[in-house]
Amino acid sequence: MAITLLRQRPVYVIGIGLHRYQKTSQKSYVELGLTAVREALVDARISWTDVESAYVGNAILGMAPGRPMLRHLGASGLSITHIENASASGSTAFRQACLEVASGVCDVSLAIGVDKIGATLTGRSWDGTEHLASPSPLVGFALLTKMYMDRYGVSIEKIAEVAVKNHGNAADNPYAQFQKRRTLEEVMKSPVAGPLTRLQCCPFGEGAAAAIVASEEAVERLNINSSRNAQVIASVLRSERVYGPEKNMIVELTRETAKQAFDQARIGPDDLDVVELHDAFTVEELLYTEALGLCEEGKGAEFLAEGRSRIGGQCAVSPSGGLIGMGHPFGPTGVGQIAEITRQLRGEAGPRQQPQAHIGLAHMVGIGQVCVIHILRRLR
Amino acid sequence: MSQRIAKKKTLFTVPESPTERPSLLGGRCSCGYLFFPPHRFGCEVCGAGPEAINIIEMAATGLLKTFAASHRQIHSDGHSPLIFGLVFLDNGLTILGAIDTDDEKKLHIGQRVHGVLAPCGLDDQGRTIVDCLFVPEGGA
Repeated sequence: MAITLLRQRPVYVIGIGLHRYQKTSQKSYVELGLTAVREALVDARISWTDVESAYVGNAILGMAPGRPMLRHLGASGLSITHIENASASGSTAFRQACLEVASGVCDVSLAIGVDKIGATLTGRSWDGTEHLASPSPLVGFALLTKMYMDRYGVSIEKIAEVAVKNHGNAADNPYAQFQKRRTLEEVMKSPVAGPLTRLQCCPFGEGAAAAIVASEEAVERLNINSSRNAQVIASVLRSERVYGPEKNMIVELTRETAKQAFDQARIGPDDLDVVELHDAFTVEELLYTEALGLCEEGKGAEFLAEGRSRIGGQCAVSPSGGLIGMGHPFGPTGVGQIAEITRQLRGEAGPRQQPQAHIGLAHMVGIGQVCVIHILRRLR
Repeated sequence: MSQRIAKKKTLFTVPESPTERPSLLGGRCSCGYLFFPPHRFGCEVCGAGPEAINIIEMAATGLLKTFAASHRQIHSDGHSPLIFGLVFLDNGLTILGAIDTDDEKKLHIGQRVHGVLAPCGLDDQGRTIVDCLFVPEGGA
């Protein structure tokens, strides 16, 4: 369905905006969200009343935070829908905004991700099933890291280089929670679980990210500078299946979601110039560069070490700094990836610019598990 | 020894004799799919309902696939980090459990492990609450 819709009625990202990701503060989520939306409206050069619907992505804030925030832009009566999909909430909000425009229900839609980290319960807390051990998610990724090291004979230092690269990218990103270059020695300090150290794990915090999408008709009617638009050429969301004991679930889920996305976009991994990945933990970047087909299975560390995922390399991976450097405030994260890909495709990423970026991919995973992939291309 | 009661009643048995090893409880669908933790909500492979699912006892024995210490969670001895492991059970399932050892160095990948019942408190009737942890064969 999405293949037909996105081809028959193209959807464009026309405006992006963010509130910097940061440590939890006294600032209201309303202020965080409004900052991002206002920046996106200015970026698109449209007014709030041109926006016909809003998808609000959040995982932590609780029930219905959308209208108490958006009313301050003018209570226009627009359609408001809340989207909760764990870490992929923002990506899913963006997908729904795209599909609404593609379906012809409206011409201009907003995806806004906003969150403030606090205590939250997941569905698993209530699922009526006991669990033998319930360590924090980072223990699960520590186990995954150890299995990767053992299976492919890769040292933790090679894996930790992901954090060195991504903290370096984030240092040039004014919206990033961390803006400091780190040496491998710094990254290897402060163990938290197994071989994982603090700087190999994404920080949680708060922030907001907005993306406005529009139809071709709206681009013409609102006189939008189309050379700055990025076209959404694939939108895929899948959930985990049963893969068997020898398979790595998050790798298989990403692999099959990516395959569908590449088929929709009619491209392959070699066509990608820039990618934003769900690198909540260092090992994930290696696993996903392999699952996307940017390199062979087990060769993720080599792909990184050869500089092929650096800005200026074959395909810049997480030039924003990724979840490890830019941060992972949940709701905003997936929309923030779209903002980064759009900025890269426009050629407006400054010191983080991947040269000749024509096609970009954004990938998020949400516990449960779900995987969301979008592919965008530049029009110039 | 006082009467023992499971911390998680749906997950493992508590044999009357303290020398007898606990079994894990799992789910098996009529389609053949085996899973843990057990439930009778439905089968995620074939979609069959509760009538197709049986709760079965499974030996709490297998091989340690990998393990990691959580430096943010503390072992019952009060000072060493809690260690979690993936156990490849003899029936082919891989499950996540806590390893009852105070020293990670005593563990290695491929090591044979089995379930034990470790006391973790008293209930309001004075019974000993026990949790199922894994230890290497021959002790930790």
